[in-house]
Formats: sequence, structure tokens, C-alpha cells
Amino acid sequence: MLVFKIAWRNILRHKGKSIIIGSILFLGALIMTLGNATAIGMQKGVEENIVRGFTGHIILVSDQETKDNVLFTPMAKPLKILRDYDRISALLRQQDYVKDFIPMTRGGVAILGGSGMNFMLTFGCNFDDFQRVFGNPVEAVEGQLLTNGDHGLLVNEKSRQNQHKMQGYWLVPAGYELNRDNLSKEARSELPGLPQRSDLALGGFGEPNSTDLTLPIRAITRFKSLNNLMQEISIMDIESFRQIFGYYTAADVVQELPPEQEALLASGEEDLFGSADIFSSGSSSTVAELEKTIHAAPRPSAKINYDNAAYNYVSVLLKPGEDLGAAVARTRELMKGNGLPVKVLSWKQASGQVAQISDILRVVINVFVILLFFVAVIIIMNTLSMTAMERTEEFGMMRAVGARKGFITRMFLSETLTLSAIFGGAGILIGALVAWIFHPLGISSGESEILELLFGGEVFQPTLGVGGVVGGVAALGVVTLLAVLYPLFVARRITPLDAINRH
Amino acid sequence: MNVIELENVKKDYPLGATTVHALRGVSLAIKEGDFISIVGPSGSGKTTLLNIIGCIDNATEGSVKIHGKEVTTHSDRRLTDLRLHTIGFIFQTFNLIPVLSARENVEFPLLLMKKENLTNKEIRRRAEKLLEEVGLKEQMSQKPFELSGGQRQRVAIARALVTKPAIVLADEPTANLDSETGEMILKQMKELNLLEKTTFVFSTHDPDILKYANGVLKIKDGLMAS
Repeated sequence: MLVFKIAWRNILRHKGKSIIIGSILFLGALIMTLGNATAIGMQKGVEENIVRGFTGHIILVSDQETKDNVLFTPMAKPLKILRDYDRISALLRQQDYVKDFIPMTRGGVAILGGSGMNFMLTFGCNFDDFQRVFGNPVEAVEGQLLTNGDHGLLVNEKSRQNQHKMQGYWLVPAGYELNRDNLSKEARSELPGLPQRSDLALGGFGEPNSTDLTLPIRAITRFKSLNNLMQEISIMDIESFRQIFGYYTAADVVQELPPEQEALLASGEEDLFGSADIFSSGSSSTVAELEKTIHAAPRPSAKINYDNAAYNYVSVLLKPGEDLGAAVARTRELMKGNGLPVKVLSWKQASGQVAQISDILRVVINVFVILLFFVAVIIIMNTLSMTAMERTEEFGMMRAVGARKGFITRMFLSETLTLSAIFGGAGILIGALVAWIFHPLGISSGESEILELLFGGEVFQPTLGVGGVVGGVAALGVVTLLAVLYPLFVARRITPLDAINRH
Repeated sequence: MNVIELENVKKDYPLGATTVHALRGVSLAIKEGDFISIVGPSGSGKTTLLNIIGCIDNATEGSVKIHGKEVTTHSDRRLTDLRLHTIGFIFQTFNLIPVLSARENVEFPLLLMKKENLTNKEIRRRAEKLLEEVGLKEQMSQKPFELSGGQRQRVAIARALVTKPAIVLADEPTANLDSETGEMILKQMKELNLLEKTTFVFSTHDPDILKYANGVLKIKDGLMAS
């Protein structure tokens, strides 16, 4: 109590210095809190829009993959086939930390029939599942989104504009009229003779077994968030993708014949034609029955299970609140423990530069805040050291009448921590208030891709949870302690004799 | 019984390339209840001697005993505790904590040793009683900057006595006071000396105050003159 009384009165007595130190602490805490809110907001934006909207938290690929950056590789080098998806999916379904998952394919396709090199990054999936798992991240601008069993391509509206610039034609969904409202300025200037196409001939890029396939364009689409960032991504149905890249398709699997046909195929010629009965009876009943059996057999398409064929990777979404690092470790253990040939990657590893740029920008903010605090520590340290020297007589007299060094320590710390709590606390409070006010309003990234990436979406919402505030208080405490260490050392070394000599 | 014993105490100070020999081998013994004055010209070593007796400076050589115990080997913590419990200081000029009132300044040493048994009420009562005794009943709540030089010195005396120390050291206690106030303070010190058997050792230039002392130690050039 005595310590706090003296500390508080000293703060009031040395108003000038208190205000200097307090102002630095206030500004530091304010900027740190806003920086924190920005970083957390960005993190949340990335989490919401990139992770929960496209990549998932964890990516499972073949253990044959040598590189981690499997999703957004610039040249879209083909991925290896992921084996044993049925076992992988069975295991994932049993995990309490897994919210959902979806198997996908990814590859670069060459758009045939145009001029020059013309590539497109495509993802193959069961689109209904894709929309369900990722919360409908894709919307149709024109045409109709894929549904189960549809074959076709979804082209991003930005990609369509690029195709027009490079190849001169304007893509229109098959069966739909040209929508003049969505034309780019350049395309509009070419009316009425604007060349149009409703399908694209595609060839798998970098895969020796690939074949060419002409796919109808089902819709022109956009991602609801981060469309600028993901404008080069087109989506096609999983079977078309498999066909283009020469993968084993689900339809191939379904070519399993009914037992009667299997038996027929298994029969030797002698069994079929060597028997006199066939010819001697003169009856055609056996052949007729056989034909009847064949026609009565279910059509293969009705039995297609898309999961029975090739995939490149599995995106896994975690339940809210799950720790990514821990979940990756658990999944690795799970796959390894079950002998599955799987490489487990976090979304950051799998997203390469996309995640790195966002991280780098966040690091820049953090470095700025750290530099700011470093400067603050130096200024506060200097001011407090001067204060300690100026108070030599006071400290020396206290020591002379029996105050231990510990008392001086407590008194000095109390003064600085009180200043820090009042001014730094005000900085955190006001920073939190600003974040709270701007959160619902949001800050638009405009058309800037960099800002969109930085924000993790089109709109940035500064966010500061309890963790952010606690982190801010902890950082402020660390800064205060760092700043007070040397002045405290100076104050503790003051002896009664120093006070006498000084006088 | 000797409460203070010094034997061949030397104190050297480095001063640039040279060394100042402030004390050149001082030996003395002061008994309980003594009222001793140390006199000597400026620079003779009076303050250094008081500082060494008061355990706020270390002897370069020699032995210093308080209540028969050698203190030159004590740690900083033990010396601090010795000052708190055994010695009261009255400094010449710097003396009070500027942010505390007169009463709070007097309470300060007691609050440092609070854990020993006194309640806050008892501490306050004792501080107020001492302030009354030095004639500052009306100024108890005033801060040092609101007090005159003499009043501040009296607060310092009250503070020096509040722990009932065995020894009170005063470095020129009346140097900054008018003669009337100085006289009054010395009378109070003498009264306490007689009542409490407190040992007083003070340095002074003023021959008028020597009449209160029952012993005078003369020091010159760092040596006891007689």
C-alpha cells in the first residue's frame, strides 16, 4: 500500500515525464491493438474465404508428391494419383475433429484450337459435394451450375475476359443467349460480329495418357469471395477431368458385368456353341433368353460411384476451434498408422505463394509493430533512467533510513506499471473500440488483388477477440518490463552515499 | 557499555589519479546514552566518520562495531536492516520524501518494519505523538515543500526517533536553521537522550551547541585530534 501510495503521488508529481512516457505507451498500445485487429481480421478473412471456401484446412495428396505446393502451382504440373481413397475416406469419417472432406483433382489443361499457348488451371470434383462442403463459394453469372452427372465446364468470368483478350472469342454457356450486360468493354465494341463459343476443346497438360475432350461450357461463374485471386480457376465435373487426363474413371469401374454376362464371358466356345442342343433343337430360346438378360441388366450409368476412381487430393475441413497444427499431426499419424500412402499438408503448405504472400504481409505488420515498440522501449528506458538519476537523493535517503533494494524495485515498478496500465490500457481500449466500430462497416479492397489477398476477401473486417486483447496486454507488459529493466538497475544501485555525494 | 567502537578506521577515496585519505586511522568508543559532538574544520572527515558509523559507507581498513558486533563484513541487506532497526539519521539537507506528508514521512521507517508487530493505528499514533513533541501538531498533513527548513528538520528528527533507535546520527542538524530553532531542536534531542537513553552523535561547526554534549570528539585531517 505504501509503495503504491508513493508511486501514484510520484506519477502526479512528475507530470511532464509521466505524460511523455504515458503518451508513448498509449500510442504503442493503440497501434499494436489496431495491428492486432488487422492481423486477426486478415487471418479470419483467409480462414473464412480461402480455407473454408476452397482449400480446406488439410490437404491429403499422394506420398509420391515431392513438393508441398500442390494447389496453385504456376505451371499446374499434374499431381500423382491418390491411392486408397475408399480407406482414406472411411478413416476420415471416424475422426471427431473432421467436419467434412471432399476428394478433388487438379491439373492444367491446354485449350486447343486457338493461337499460341493457352492454358487453364482446372479442378475436377463432384460439384454438388464441392458446393456443400465449402458452403456454396461459387455462383453462376450466366448459365447453370453443374449438378450430379452433368458433364461440362465452369469458367470464371475473369477467365472469360482473358480468353477474349487472348483468343478473340467470347464464351457463352451452352444453350444460352449472349448476355450483353456482362460483356467487357472490348467485347462490346466488337458487336454485332463478336465471335462466340459454347464449348472448349481441352487437352490434359503434362500427363502422357491425356486425351482431348470437347466440353460444353455450363456456366460462367465467380467465386463469392476472392474472385480476383482465383480468377484463373475453372471447375469441371470429375469424370471429364479423369477422361482428359487419362485417369481410370468411375464409368470404367462400372463396366463390371452382371453375373449372367460374367458367366457368359467365362464360358468357353465349346460351352456356347459346341453343344448339339443348341443346334439340334433348332430352338432360339437360349439366344433369346440371353439377349433378354442382357437388355434387362441395369445400365452402367445408374451404378456410377464417382469415388471408385482416381483423385489427386482430398480437402479436409476441421471443426471450428480445432488447432490446425495438432490436426495435421493427428492426420499424419492416422495415415501412417494405417499404412496409407498419403502425404498430409496444411493448407498453407499446399497453397504455396497464396498463403505465403498473406503471411508475409502479416509479418510486415508485425515487424512494424515490433519496431515501434523497440523505439518506444528505448525512449521510455531513457526517460526512466533520467528520472532514476534525478531521484538519487530520494532513493538514497530511503535506503539510508532502512528501505531495502526490494522496496526501491517495487516502488519503481509500481510507478511504471501504473503508467503502463493507465495509458497503455487506454490505448488498447481505444484500439479495441475502433476495431469494434469498423468490424461491421468493413473496409473494401476495391479491385486490388494484393489488398484482397491481404484482407483475405473483398471486405476487410478488423477483428479483435478476447485473445487479441489478452495478447495486447501481454505485449504491453513485456514492453513495460523491458523498458524498466535498465532504469531499475540504475535505481537499485543508488546508495545513501550517492545521495550525500550528489548533494 | 560501548554501542559504537571504531578501531584504526581508514577511509580512502579515489579522486582522479590521486587518493584522498579522508580518515587515516580513527579509533573511538561511544557508550550507551552518550550525547557526543564531533567537531572539526570543513574537510576534516566529520561526515565520513558519521557515514561509517551509520553503515552507509564502508571503511577501507579497520574495525567498526555496533553493539559489539563487527559490521564491516555485513551484506548490504544486513546493513540496511541495521540502519532501520538500530540507527536514526538526521541529515543536513536532504531528508524527507517529497510526496509524503510530515506524518507519512515519520511513519515511513515504521511501515518498512511493519511486519514486526505494529498496527497501522499504532504507527500513526506514534508518529503523531513525536510530531507533537517537536511542535508540528498543526503541520502533520503538510508536504515537505509546504514546511520551512526548521520544520523539515524537526520532521526528520521525529522520523529518526520513531523507531526508538539505539543510536541517532545527525550531520550538522542545525546548519540550516536560525539559532532559535537550532537551540530548540537541540533541547529536544537532549531531552530524548535523557529520557530514552538514546545515544546521539552529531557533527557541528557551532560552538554554542557544544554545551549540550557530554563529550566532544575533535577531528582534523582525518585523525582524532584529542
